[in-house]
Amino acid sequence: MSKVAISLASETVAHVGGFEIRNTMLMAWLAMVALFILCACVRSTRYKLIPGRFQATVEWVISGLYDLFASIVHDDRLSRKFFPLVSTIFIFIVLGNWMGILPGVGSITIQAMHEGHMTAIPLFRSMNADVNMTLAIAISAIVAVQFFGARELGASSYSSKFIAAPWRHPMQSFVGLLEMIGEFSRIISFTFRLFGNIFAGEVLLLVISYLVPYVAPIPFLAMELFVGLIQGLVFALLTTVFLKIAVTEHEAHHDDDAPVLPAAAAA
Amino acid sequence: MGDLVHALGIQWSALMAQMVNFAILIFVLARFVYKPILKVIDERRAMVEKSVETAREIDQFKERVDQDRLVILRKADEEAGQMLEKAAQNAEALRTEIEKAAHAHAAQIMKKGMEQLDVERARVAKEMQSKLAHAIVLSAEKILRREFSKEDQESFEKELKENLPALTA
Repeated sequence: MSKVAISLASETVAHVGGFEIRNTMLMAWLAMVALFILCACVRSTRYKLIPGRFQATVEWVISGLYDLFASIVHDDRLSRKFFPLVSTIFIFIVLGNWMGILPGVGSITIQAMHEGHMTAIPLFRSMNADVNMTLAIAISAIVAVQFFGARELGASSYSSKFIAAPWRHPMQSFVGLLEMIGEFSRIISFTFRLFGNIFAGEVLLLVISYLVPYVAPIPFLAMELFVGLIQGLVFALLTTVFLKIAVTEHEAHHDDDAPVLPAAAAA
Repeated sequence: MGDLVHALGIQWSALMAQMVNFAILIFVLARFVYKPILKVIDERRAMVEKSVETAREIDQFKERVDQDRLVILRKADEEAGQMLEKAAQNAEALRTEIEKAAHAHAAQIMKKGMEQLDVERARVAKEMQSKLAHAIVLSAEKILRREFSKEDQESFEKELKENLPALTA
């Protein structure tokens, strides 16, 4: 019986100049290509007022997502601004997770140098089983949260949530520090929640497929589909909540001059 | 920290590449999917709202027209009733008038007839008186077996005519 190789880090499948192309990156590109094809198909419908089946399906998904996020934001103008970010997070993560259980992902291998020696590494690997991917999405989301917060409340007003003169408002200064830590903790929690779930699912499927290759993995594949959907939803909904907090929370503090609560709890 | 980064395979170039990929994806999806689809949904919603509003206006208009129609019909019914009543009254008046005229005409005809009858009776009586007088004279001639002269005959007839008033009464 051959050994099961599990690597926490994604594997490099090729080099372009000094740039390493990871197997998870290939999956991300495939997911992007799939979404670009979807865009082309949607565009070819000419966005008719009386839609065909395909356009109606896309509209159903998009309007469903919009209504879901708008029900959290409670503001149509802000919902429109946040929607591209949170919707892309959801669609990209779910698609990446689901593509991760396609046949061939993890099972098609190539011989390549990994950790100093030639070994068989998977050509494709679930994109969210790579910290680089989940961290990239998490950083993008949190940067966007700061951007929208500063844009809606004003840069100085928004930054006062983090920075206060310690000699005038020592408590607020301390709370601001906690807020800043909270923002970083959000990135970490976002990153490792998604990575942990997908990596764990990948390991679980690998082990089950190794032990009982036929039939037994099917319920776990179904569970991974569900987990993939839930993880995308959690990531997108939490981003929406953080966006909502960023554009409203601080103003309430101006009104009653109450101490700023650390948002780390939310993360 | 370095070991953790190495163990997790975190690489800044890969991280940046994924962030750029993600940004491109947001841009493309927003440009070709989210905005146009939300726009078309908004347009459709506006159109549906407008259609619903138009349908509501049409319903209200129809209701108004129905009410107006009922009012007009009721008014027409009333007018028709009044006209019928008036026509009946006119007909009654005309009938009465015609009846009166007919009665008057009949009375006039009767009167004229009676007058003619009187005239005729007088004429007949006069004629009969004359013929009777002549007959009496002739009879008297035969009884007396003599012939009256022309003058006698005329004198007798005249006398008889004057003495026979009962025939003309």
